[in-house]
Amino acid sequence: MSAKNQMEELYHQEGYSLPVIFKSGKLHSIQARRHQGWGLRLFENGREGFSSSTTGDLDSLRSLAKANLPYGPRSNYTLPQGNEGYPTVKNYYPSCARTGGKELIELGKQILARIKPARIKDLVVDVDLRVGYGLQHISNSLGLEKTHRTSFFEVSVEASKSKEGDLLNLWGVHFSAKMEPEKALSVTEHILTRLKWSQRIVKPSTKRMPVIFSPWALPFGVILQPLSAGLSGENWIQGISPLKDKLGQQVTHPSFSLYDNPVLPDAVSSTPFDGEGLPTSRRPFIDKGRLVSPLLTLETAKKLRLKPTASAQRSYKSRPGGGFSLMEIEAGTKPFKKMLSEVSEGIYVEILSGGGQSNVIAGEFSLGVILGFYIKNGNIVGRVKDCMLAGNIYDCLQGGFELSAERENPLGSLLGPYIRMDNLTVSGKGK
Amino acid sequence: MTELRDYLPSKIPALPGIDFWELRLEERITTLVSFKGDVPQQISESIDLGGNCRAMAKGGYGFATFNNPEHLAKSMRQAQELAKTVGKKPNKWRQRAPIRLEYSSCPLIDPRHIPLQKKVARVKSIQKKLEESHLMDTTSAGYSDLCFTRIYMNSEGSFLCEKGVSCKCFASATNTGKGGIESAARAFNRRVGYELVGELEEALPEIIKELGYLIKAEPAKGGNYTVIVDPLLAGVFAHESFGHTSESDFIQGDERIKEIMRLSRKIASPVLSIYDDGTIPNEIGSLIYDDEGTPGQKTALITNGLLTSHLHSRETAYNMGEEPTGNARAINYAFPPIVRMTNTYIAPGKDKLSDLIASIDNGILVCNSYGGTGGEMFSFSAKYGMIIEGGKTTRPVKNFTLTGNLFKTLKNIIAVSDDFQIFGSWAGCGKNEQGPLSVGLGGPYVMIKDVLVGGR
Repeated sequence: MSAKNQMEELYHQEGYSLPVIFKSGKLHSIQARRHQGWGLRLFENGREGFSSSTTGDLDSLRSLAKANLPYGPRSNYTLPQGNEGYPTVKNYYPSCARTGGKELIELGKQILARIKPARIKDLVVDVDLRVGYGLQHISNSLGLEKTHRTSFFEVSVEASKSKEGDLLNLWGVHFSAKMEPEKALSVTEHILTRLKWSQRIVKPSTKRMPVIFSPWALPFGVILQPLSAGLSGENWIQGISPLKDKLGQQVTHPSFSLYDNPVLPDAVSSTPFDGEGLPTSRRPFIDKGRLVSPLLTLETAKKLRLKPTASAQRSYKSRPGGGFSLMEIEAGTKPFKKMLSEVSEGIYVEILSGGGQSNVIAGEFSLGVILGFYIKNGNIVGRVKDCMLAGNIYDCLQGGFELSAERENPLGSLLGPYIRMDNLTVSGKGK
Repeated sequence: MTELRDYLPSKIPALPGIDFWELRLEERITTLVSFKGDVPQQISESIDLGGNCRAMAKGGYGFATFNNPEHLAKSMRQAQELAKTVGKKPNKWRQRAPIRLEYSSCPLIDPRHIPLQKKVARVKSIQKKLEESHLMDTTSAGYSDLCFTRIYMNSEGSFLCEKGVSCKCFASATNTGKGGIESAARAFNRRVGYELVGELEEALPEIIKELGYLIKAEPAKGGNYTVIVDPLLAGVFAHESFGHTSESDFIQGDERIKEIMRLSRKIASPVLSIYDDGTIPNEIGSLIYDDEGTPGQKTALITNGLLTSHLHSRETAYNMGEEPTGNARAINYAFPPIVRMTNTYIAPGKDKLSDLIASIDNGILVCNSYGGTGGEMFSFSAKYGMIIEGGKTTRPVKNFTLTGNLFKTLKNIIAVSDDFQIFGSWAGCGKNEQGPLSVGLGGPYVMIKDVLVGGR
């Protein structure tokens, strides 16, 4: 297939993971999971056919894609063809991918041993440790051929303590592309600190007050989902994004800048090419409040007559769609401790529920506080219970917020600062 | 064409040192047709083939997966080695008599007999019908069918083979007017054939009606209300909040939770009964047998306010001295089974919805849901509601979430209506790393006092 109106693209993924699972403080299971899959896109006569399979039988993939091609999306763009200009992304460590179950069992025991001396009655601890690797390979009939491997090391510790009328769930994680046992062990300190903060329960009453979102809380529906939806090129084409028609305009306060960062070293999400094979880079989408671009694939860029942004996210089972590889929010200048000390009465939140379950496209969020703490005169004085937060992210980002100097990427999907929103509606059952 | 069972080795390798093993093989063939506006988004067909072996030795589990069936014997040996690394304690497993069963479901209209061209045209016609309403700025619609074969066998001598079909479809409409961006949608997901698309077509006027409400609705004011939730939200509550708390992998390791979830305990208002039922014909959560070979069954979780059962896998049943309930499920062959729901619902009562509304001075009739999350502290985002004033519904409200403490709310349920409906969503349920899993949920209209409504 040499003509540009007849193209073929093959996207392949494979991976291996080795989860070691401790339940209620005891070793429960070890798993060895392998997966592989191929997705084939066929372009002919201005249409696109697609099929996927776990068997890798190319003839069968071609015949399936050919069968749905006459009804598929119209395509009038050209796939990438050069093999130059790709960034170097370092997130594959063979020693990490090859770590064995016995080493993870030992680390799990050490994590449990660090929590044990706290002697907290009825604390139930589950630990999930896993290593592995992923591989993605893309090739097309125009000569593109790219492969990238990632390794990963993930540790998740969940500690729960229950009594009548109160189930406390604490959670700490560490994600990296390389083995970092010391950082994994420090997850226990994160949990023990929160246990201390949780000794007293506070029930806030319904009113407006400052809320500080930890970088842990940001992926839970406050920022990641509404802004991903608002910046989605597909939603711009459909006309349902509140950001459409605002290109180049000020859409947030100038202190807010938002990037996609697919090249962050040692991040599991990093990759030198996107789901269509375009070279990736750290790229601004909102720059000092000004809207730079939506998240675009080749298809949406062509339809919107904009430059592609190498934002194609996909698995072998799906066609590419625009999305963030790793959302990055620019830091502010104020240290988190100073930010906290300036709150006379407010809430500091780390885990929220209900994310994505509201009118996300309009920017609405309405979230239950699973883990949050009450701030009084600049100090954390207890854990909040029976409490909800609601707002609209586009309204919130117009002003009346502050960003911390420190940033974290705890969950692998968002690198961001602590954000204090000064006037948020908190609903609670307190008097 | 190779049948799935042809991949099974003629002789299963011996696994010394293993107390129990099980093998799952699956083949899933999926067709997907989706449109945004009149533009096709994805028209595709996919083949997913794979399997796993789970082995247990002295209470420890090893689990290995594969896509290439030639790796089956190797995966069995790997699961064996992993289990032996873990197992240090006496055997913990609820033995079962072997079952041998082969089952094929017969949908009314087999989607495999409908050409792709017709499926595409039908979805397009749904999108066109929605577009005819002046309220729409944009629409989307989708259809997917799944034809699967599952084989399960274990060291006890069970052999189960099921061939089945399920279909799902959705349509949504969006208005981007002055009041903001509002969307209304309906989705169906059942273990039936192509005839399901007809149900979606019948529901299109409901989408238009709901969008009309959403455009008119004002944001709700936060506070404490008496609410009536509709059958979908009743199901979301039964599933997200109480259902997940009934899953015994959540209960078994925690002595305090075991006490809170003690059987025979008076846990809810006497008007409340909740079931998990994997035997309802054609519902998406229904199963002939679960992923450990236990037949699907109807389990009474709450009966007239008393806690009557937990949901179990064979492992949790052994640990808690109870019987397996057919709730060990995995989203696919790439994951081990964990305790999951099937179709979870609140049983209907005798009250009329109109009488319930008439009994409220100041409250909200809450309709449709964006979804929710459960646990002790639950929160559900409602699509919209109708304010109830002086026993009558008056005006629509939107942008609010219901939240509360599960155990207090169970006791605050005042009445349940005589309506009943079960829903299967386009997406499904997520737990730990496994999602989406197809589940059904539903119930009647349910009246609850003192619910915290989070608004702006």
